[in-house]
Amino acid sequence: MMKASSSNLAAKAAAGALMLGVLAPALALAEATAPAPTAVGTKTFCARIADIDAKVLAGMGDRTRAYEAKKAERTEKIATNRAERDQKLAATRAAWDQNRAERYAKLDERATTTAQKAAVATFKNELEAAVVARKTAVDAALVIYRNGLDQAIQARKTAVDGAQTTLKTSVTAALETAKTDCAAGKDPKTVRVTALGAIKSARDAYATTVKAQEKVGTTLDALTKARNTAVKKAIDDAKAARERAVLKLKAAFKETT
Amino acid sequence: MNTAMKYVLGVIVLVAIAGGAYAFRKTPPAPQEKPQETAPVAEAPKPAAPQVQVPAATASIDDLTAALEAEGSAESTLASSSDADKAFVTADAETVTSFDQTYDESLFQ
Repeated sequence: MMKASSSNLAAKAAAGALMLGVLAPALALAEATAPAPTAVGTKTFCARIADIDAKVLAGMGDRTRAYEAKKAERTEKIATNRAERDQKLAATRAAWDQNRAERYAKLDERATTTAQKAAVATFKNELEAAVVARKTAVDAALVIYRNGLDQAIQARKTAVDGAQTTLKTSVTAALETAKTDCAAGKDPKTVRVTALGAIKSARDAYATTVKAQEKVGTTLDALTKARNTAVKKAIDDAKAARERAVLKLKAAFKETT
Repeated sequence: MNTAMKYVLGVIVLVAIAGGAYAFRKTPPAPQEKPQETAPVAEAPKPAAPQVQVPAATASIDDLTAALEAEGSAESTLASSSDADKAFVTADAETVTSFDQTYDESLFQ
């Protein structure tokens, strides 16, 4: 009885050992493949700081390139549009110059007396002087408007470029501080909160600077108003001179207005 | 000049003529200018000058007055067309405002 019991116990022990041998590798494997406590979490912030740093810097690089490309595109488009408008203005003026010349010639043909011919010559001189004055005044108004616009763009560029440089410097410094603190064994949670706070402050400062740039609309409106006023005056002055000249011409041709 | 000398002279003349003819045939013809193999480069079209409509010139003073009025109006319209440039000042707005989105918030969780 005793022998049988002993033999039974030995068999059970052997079976247990066998099961343990079979299961041990599986248990070890299960432990190895279990998910980390938290892939994303404050405890692992310091472990991920290098990756965060790389991603943030890459993001800033991408956005800087996009901004630079937009600025270059703006410069090119403005230059193209200005050239087209200048060409159109020159062509329009040339066509009207030609038209006036033809009208002077026809008036001269119509003049039958010396007085009428003299009146046509005077009319032509006075009208051409008025046209030249109008063109000069309009050109000056356009140059002032154009220069003002360029200055507004430059001011915006200077402000935004400076704000972006400050933001980049601040974010880089915050991440460097975080890396240093992590290396010094500081509490990752504290390091994370400090870094986030510094970056948030930098972002807020950037947003404030950018918001201030919205005021450029006021500047542009003032430029437009000044240009329109100057152009209107140029045209009104030319019109007044023309009306005076026309009255004298009609008198010479005995026409009534 | 005796007969032998005449024969010799005749032979020399014949040889000279034959040599000349041979040399002439072997001389390659003057190279003719080959037609260009590459297609001629088309001249880039110049931008067409803007078409400007103006009324026909007459000897009428009233027509002239009306034409001068239209001329001033055209000048005013062209001056105002520079308003289009205003939009370019803030054309970078999107890239400017999104610049501070330099990190994904989830990175810092």
